[in-house]
Amino acid sequence: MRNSIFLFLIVISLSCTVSTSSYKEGKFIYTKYCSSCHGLNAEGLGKWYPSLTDTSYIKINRSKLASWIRFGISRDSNAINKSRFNLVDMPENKYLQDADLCNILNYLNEQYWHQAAFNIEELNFKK
Amino acid sequence: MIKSNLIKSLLCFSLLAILSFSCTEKKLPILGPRTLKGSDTIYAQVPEFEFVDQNNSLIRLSEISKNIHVATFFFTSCPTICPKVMRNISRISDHFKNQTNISYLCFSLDYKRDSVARLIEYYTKVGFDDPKLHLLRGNQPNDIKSLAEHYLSTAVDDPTAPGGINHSGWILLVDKKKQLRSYCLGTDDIDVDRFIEDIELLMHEK
Repeated sequence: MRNSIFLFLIVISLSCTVSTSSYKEGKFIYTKYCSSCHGLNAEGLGKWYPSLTDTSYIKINRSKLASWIRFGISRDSNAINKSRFNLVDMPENKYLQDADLCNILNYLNEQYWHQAAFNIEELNFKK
Repeated sequence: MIKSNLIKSLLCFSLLAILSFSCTEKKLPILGPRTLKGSDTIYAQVPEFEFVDQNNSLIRLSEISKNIHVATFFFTSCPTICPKVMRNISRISDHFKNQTNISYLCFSLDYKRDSVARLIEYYTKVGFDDPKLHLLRGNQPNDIKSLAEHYLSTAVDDPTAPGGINHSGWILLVDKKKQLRSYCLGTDDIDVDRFIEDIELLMHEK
């Protein structure tokens, strides 16, 4: 019994250290650069800033996400795409590195989307 | 026996002393520049203004100052700190939902883009719901920017700043005498919690 508790604790601590580093890093960057508009819990702000928790939307646009974060989205292109969020531009974040973008996505994925993890090779960082 | 009575009474006395000490009313300081007139200290006041809000109603400081007010400077296209600051304005207004003796003034720094129509759209879509909350538009391109310094806030056009305007994210508290009494960094939730306590103090000030 005692041994199994011990084993359980080891597994827990190992799984924490191994799998959460990208998550942790992504959480830090998300909180610093994204949460002002999108909210600490990705809930958005009313109908002015979108929430980021719509998994079906994320699934359809998976390949575009990194580029969106880096180059932003103009309100005009949102209007063309008939998005409800066409009142304000999403700003560019060009100072973020490829790894930062990947970490942000993996943080949001683990927290809200529960899809296959994002890896840096699959992401499109071009406009 | 006598000794233990002495200790008891000493204990009682010190308890009483601590109690009465902690009951002394904490008062918010008066902030901002001050001058001396003879031996009287003259504190800075926010100067009178008259702006329209999101409902196209005229808002005058003299009317607003029948109550205390909370103030901040923002613009609806701000891509950096304003959303966070405005979340906290919303949180403060929710906290004092049932109070009628407080108003909120959010001054738009973007004369060009923040029309009355855009301000009402922002008010609605962000989800504000408080008749005491006013999003204000200047009468001229720069009058709100010059007002900012009286609220000890920075607001200057800066093409290199995100959104084109460099501004501080302070939230300020002003009393009925139009004097600044407290402030917090609108992007710092913990500082805002402390600020809410300051508002409560000012509300109960005699």
